[in-house]
Amino acid sequence: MGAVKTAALHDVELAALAAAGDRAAYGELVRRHGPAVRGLVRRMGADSSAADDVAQDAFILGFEQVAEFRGEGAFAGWIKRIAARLYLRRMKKDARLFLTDQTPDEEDHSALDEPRTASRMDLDTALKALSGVERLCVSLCYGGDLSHSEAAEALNLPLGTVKSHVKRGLDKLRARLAPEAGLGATRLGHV
Amino acid sequence: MSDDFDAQLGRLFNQAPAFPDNEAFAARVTARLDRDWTMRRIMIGVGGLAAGMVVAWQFVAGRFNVEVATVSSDAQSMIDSGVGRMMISLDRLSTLPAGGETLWLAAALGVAALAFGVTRAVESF
Repeated sequence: MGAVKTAALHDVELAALAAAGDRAAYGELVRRHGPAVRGLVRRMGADSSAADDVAQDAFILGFEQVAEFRGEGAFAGWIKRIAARLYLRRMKKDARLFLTDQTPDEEDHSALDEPRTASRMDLDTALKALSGVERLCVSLCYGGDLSHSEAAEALNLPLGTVKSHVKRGLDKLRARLAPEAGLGATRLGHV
Repeated sequence: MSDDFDAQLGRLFNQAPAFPDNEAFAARVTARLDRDWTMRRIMIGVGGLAAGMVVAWQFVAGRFNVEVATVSSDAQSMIDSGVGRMMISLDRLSTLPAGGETLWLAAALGVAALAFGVTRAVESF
């Protein structure tokens, strides 16, 4: 199928073609959603090289499982879930998944000392203020479309712990991304 | 307020960063898919060929066994019938008036002819 023709098709149609073995159609899906998948894995904490490897593996795995995608949700969400789980599996395999509340390096903090205004929202920079586990939990739930329960299962953590990490992560992000709203929430939380 | 921020954060996460090498990334994935697909086709081809050879071998070996069994069975029945006919002939000979003597005389002549032939052959060396 030609590039012009595939570019005009909806994700669900492309996925159906891919399920029938059309690799060109799947290539169009990769072109469309590659940045989202690569971005998510980077936001989860991977460096650019590792993120690209995981994203690539996720798309390959996605092609093998694309027949299972029925179009109930967005294809982007479906493939991002695959990538998120794959990244966690790789971290566990490499014994790099330390689910501690350790805060980022001092040099990372120094870059984040100045709160950003709403007009200069930079999610990627703000995420660096979170601890590794907070970052993973927030990224999985907001970027990877996983529910708290699914994130808890994927991370092998109790549900309550994941909820706490998400809450703490959100508070930090709120303070960075929407300072006024963040202050309000903090005040409310401490009253 | 929390819901607003949640929605805002969701939107931010859904905004994929721009990657200048997106085309190259997509090309790498499709190239890997093509390579995997080619490998899979080769594996399927090799597997099919191996399976075909096993089936062909089984078929030939099966046919060979059947042929041998048939030939063996045919030969045995031929020998049996030949022996049976010979026994019947011998029985008939023995029922002739001078049957027994004729048979022994023919045998003796045969042995004498064989002995003569062997003697001549030994002499010629």
